[in-house]
Amino acid sequence: MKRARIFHRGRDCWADVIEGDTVLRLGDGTLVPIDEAQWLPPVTPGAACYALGLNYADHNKELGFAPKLATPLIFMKGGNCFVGHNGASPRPADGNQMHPECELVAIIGTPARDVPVEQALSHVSGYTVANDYAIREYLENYYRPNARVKNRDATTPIGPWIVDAADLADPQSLSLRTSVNGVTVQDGTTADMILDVAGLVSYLSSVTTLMPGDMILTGTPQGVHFCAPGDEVVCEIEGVGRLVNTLVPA
Amino acid sequence: MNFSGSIYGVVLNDTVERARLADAFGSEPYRAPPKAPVVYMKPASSVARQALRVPAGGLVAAPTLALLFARDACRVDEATALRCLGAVCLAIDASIPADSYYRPAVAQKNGDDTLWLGQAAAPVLPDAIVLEIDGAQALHFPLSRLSRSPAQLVADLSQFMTLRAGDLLMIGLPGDAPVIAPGTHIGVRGGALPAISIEAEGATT
Repeated sequence: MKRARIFHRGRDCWADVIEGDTVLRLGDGTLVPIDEAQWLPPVTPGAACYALGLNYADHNKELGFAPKLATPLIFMKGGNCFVGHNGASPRPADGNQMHPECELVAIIGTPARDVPVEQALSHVSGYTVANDYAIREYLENYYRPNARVKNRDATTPIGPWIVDAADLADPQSLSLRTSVNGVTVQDGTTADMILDVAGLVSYLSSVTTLMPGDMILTGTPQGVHFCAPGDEVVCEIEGVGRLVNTLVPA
Repeated sequence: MNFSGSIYGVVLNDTVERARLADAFGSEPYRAPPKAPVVYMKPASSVARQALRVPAGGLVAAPTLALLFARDACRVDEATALRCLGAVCLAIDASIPADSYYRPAVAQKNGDDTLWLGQAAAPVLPDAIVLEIDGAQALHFPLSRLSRSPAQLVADLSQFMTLRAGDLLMIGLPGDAPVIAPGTHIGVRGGALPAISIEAEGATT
């Protein structure tokens, strides 16, 4: 099953994605054709959102960092960041080094505290796709990657929907691809994560209690491509979804 | 204090701490002083309900002020920034001691029951925040010590991130906040705001 969050007749609703991804069914049975959907981020309000930096060895090499950090590089993101499928993200006039980052997102289903790796995936209820844009001009060496890079309004497209974890055989064998105006700029696999989904859930659960709806953006593979206003950026993860975003001048 | 959104805070907003670190700011790994406010976040799981939970190694207990937004603050200026507030409260933000600001401090700051929020009141800012440990004054933190005033901080953050209705923002942590041990009684006072009086209990993990 897939679940999406849409804006419909004046309010936001969760909906099941049915009929071969052509129709959305609201809780009250209302059917909405998928091409009429106004997509919202499939995010539970108030949920904690964790994101990984430098969690793919090839990307670390590309950026000049060690293949594996001593401790995982994790930061948080606020609710202001997210924008739904087919949405627009502001591309600042001075953000010439703005690049997309296609990431598998794990969504927590049950409270997780001090969970061993072997049991960690039982706390994951679903997966979605995020594009965690970065703007390298704004990097500063304080809590890097700092908020001006990673916590900007509407610069984290996410969706279109959440796929149930049960429908994904192995989260560590999925291809990830980003294209800009139809040209592939990232082409990786979740097999190359340094700390895999189970490892991330286990690690974070040693720090905090992960709660239902909390999200982990698991990092991005290599392929730094700087984008321009007007670019159409598509992030696709095999078996999860295809997330479309357009950059608008800001 | 009711919040429904994200919990933000800033570090390095204390002029005394900034002066102490001035040389370090020019060295590795920082290379330059911070320009934008240095933001961290805390999850809802960190909000304590009965007591702060402090592991055996202790936590840095930083008294601060939390702003609750009633309206979105998006690209506001300093003169109008505080009109977006609906309430404020005193707060204690407890963290595992760290000696670096280079990487995000999730492992140090996100522990369960490490953030205590006092009772909310109308947004009238106190002149100073006082921390008491076991009844004795441990720290006097005048807001004049802030590098960016609350209004300036909200204005600067709002240039790139909207502080949304329902979000919380902690305005800065004193760089000389003490380390507290389990079994400590903690009090925080500030102006006419409802005071905080809580226990720091041992944490099992």
